[in-house]
Amino acid sequence: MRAKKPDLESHLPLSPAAFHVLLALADGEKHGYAIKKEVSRRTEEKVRLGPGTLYGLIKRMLKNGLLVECDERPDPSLDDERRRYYRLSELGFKVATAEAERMEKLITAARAKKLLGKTRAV
Amino acid sequence: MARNKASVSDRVFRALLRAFPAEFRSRFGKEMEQGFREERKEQRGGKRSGLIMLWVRTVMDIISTAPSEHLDILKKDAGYGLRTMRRNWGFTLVAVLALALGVGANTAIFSVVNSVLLRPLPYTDSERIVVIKEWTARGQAQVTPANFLDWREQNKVFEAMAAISSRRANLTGYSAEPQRINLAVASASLFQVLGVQPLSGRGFVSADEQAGHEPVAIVSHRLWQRRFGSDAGLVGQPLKIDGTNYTVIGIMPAHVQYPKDVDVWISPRRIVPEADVDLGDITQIRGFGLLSVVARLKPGVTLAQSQVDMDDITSRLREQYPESNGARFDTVILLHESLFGEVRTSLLVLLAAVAAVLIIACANVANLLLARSSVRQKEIAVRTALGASRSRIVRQLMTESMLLALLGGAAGLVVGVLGLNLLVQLAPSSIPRVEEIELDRWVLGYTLLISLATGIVFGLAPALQVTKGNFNEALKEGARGMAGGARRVSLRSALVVAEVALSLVLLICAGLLFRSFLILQNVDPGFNPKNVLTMRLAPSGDNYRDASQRSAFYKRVIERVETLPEVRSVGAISTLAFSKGPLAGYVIEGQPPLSLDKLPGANRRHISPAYFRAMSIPLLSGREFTDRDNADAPGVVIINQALARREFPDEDPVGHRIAFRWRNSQPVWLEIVGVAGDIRSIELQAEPMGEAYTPYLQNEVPEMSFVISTTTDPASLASAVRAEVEDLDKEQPVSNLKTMDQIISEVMVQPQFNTLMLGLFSGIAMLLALAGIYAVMAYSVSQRTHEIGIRMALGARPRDVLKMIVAQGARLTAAGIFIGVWGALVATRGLGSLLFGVSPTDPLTFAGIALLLAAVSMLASYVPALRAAKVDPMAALRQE
Repeated sequence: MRAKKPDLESHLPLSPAAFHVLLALADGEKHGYAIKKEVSRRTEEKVRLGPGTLYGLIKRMLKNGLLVECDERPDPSLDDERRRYYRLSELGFKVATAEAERMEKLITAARAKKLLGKTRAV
Repeated sequence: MARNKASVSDRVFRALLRAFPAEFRSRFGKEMEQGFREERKEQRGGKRSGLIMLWVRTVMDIISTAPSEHLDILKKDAGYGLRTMRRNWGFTLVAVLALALGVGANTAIFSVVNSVLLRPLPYTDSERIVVIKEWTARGQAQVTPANFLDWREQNKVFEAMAAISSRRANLTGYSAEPQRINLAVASASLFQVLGVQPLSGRGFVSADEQAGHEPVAIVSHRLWQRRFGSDAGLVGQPLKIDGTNYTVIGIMPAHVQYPKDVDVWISPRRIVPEADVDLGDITQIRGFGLLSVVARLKPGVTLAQSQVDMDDITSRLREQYPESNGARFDTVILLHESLFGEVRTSLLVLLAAVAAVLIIACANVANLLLARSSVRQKEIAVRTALGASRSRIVRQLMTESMLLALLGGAAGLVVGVLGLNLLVQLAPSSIPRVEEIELDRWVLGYTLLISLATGIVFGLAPALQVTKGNFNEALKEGARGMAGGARRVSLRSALVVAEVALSLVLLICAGLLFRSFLILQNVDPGFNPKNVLTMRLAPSGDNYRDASQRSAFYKRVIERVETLPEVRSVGAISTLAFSKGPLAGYVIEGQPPLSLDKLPGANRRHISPAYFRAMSIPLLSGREFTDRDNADAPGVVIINQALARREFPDEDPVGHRIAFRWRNSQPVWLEIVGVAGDIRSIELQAEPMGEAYTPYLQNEVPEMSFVISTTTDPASLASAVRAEVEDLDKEQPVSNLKTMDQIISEVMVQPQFNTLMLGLFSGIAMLLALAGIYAVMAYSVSQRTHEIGIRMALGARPRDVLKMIVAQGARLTAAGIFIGVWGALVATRGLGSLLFGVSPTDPLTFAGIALLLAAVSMLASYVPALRAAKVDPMAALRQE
């Protein structure tokens, strides 16, 4: 137990783009383009991961053990081409959860200070 | 059409992806292309601007993320490289040491070259300041006052022109002891030409050079600090220079040093800077020169254009004044060139020498890397088998080389700083701007650049070499059996041959300079410098306005100093040996007349009767001067052998007449009463020139050097001599009190410095080359152990093995020496002006150095050969 904590801590806080990628994979494995599409849709196109950013992140997260490569298979919703799929590792899942919990605490604190849902009084 | 468009877009995207490292591309490139293709498909349904924005976003994303991928790889390779270097610390140490020597030497010498030659002069737009030199049939001359005035009036290319007449003078007053100073009489426009403003007070204005103006002086920064203690109230104070009162009107900043080492500038009495003897209205003098001239080019005017303009003026003056200007011409050169041109050859030779040392160091390190490459063959084979491309491995090896180079560069910087400090201590004073030599950002940048360059030079060939070849073989057997090994051996041999050749070139250059230096040391100067003390006096003030008053003073000094015990004889001369005397045109009675500017020249010096005795210069015929050769007696002269041989090759010159001056266009004849032996009067390297000695009692002599021949160590008499002079007149400073041996040492300082520096660098080069030979031979022996074992098992004796290895080394050395000799024949031509008494292709030096290098190289091969001869055949045969 004690050995895992330092591992988790060392990954936090995640950059926003990294969290978006982990979040996209939270509900199952996806290929790179699907990750990009989901992030774009979820953020109403406010966050658009370019190819360098996305695959730079994937490379680092594979190296850090947050992601795992799966097999290559075609995506039926696209063309016939074989695509490489990625999924969260156990560590990746824990890191994503820890980051979400960290942000939840921040949201709770913001709510307590009445920052959410109100405009500032002049 | 749509398919063609898609494939063009794919190709463009693929080209953009090349910004990423190959490793990254091979891993994710296909996915990135797939993703981008899908995005384009989606955008095609919408507005055109959407597609354009997609391209823009993608390009921006690639530009911002690709560098960090490269940095990632660099960090990984650098970490791996550092670990490898730590594991092989012996190799790392040797390589870093070799590079440190090469880079350090370059850093030190480049610092000097940068400060002396490359840094612009500290004057505004200094590249527009020029010096105008005048030439006659006798060589370079000073500019005549009348010519200067005409140049200034008639030129169209200069915005300002100034003349300067430099001399030594006596400074008294301001509650300090009398001091001998460097005085410059300068046109009011001098500081306009230089583009400088005074630190305090004002510069000269044109009113300061009109007749009858109040005498004013400007003090240099160094005199202001040293004599006046940086007194802020100096401006407005009086100074006495050569007995005349001047008011200080300004102080110049520290960087204003023109002429060199100037202490005080004063403005001319009337328009043109005057000499210190009364020559009447010097604005009319066109027959002989007094001045040096500087000018500032108008904006947009080139040096070539200014030369054309001056040539036009010269032609006009030649027509107007054929007598004086018939053979005069002038050249316009940049001030920078005139100040530093002489020292350029020495410095560039040194720069070439250290560049050669660095190349040899690089070759050594390349050899070391090649030797290690066999050891690393398996490692590289494994990496290749795991999917690393050749370019990826070369990149990693190059990163290691660059790390090594940067380490070597950092160590080299330390060596360079230490070397530079030493160099500045040893540098002769003839190197200008010595006090400005420092390690500045340009030098740091140069060090970084050469470090990086050496990393590429020594790293690339081994990296390419080691990644060639069949890695399957490397995985199966030992590295020894590697295909491609033969190619590596020949590259190593070629590197060693190159090292030997380069070091031979350097050694020969050093050898020539050394021989030159030895010959120069043994040159007979024509006089005996042993036990001779010298000093200079320039009496000034109200008591010495008259030539006869000055002569009387000199006579009293001689008489007083002669009374000192341990003084053998005392003589005096207007300009001592190794300083330029005025080169005077002369005419021999009975010879056809020539115009003034075409007259032959001789050095004219005024002496006291005992001068030749004090200097041990032989009198070959006739008589010496006596005190009876005074102003009331007929004019007489003693000439030297060189002049006698030139003008009187078949007869004794004694009794003939010669003239150096004209009065009312008639020559003032002097009778030749004696012929003296030749001395090397200007420099040791130059053949004796024509000399004409006239009695000081018959001439105007503003200052004289005294030569005191002693029976004991001359330096021990210095204070006694000074005391005698002070006793006669304490207002007259004694300057240049030194022994003749010291003067000769000073003359030898520049050739000594050149020899020392080149000797040092060639020595380093030779050591590096020998290390290279040793390393190659040792490696060869270790590679051939199995073969040697077989030979010995088949009957070869140890001495046969020894001969075989030594012969291999001898072949490399011989090839290197052969190439080096040809290289040296070319390189030594550049030494020409630095050599004395020895030709650039001197066979004795070439042969001697080649034999020396051959001998020590054979020694370097001998040690590994001995080891080879001791190989146990059984052990060698068992070894795989």
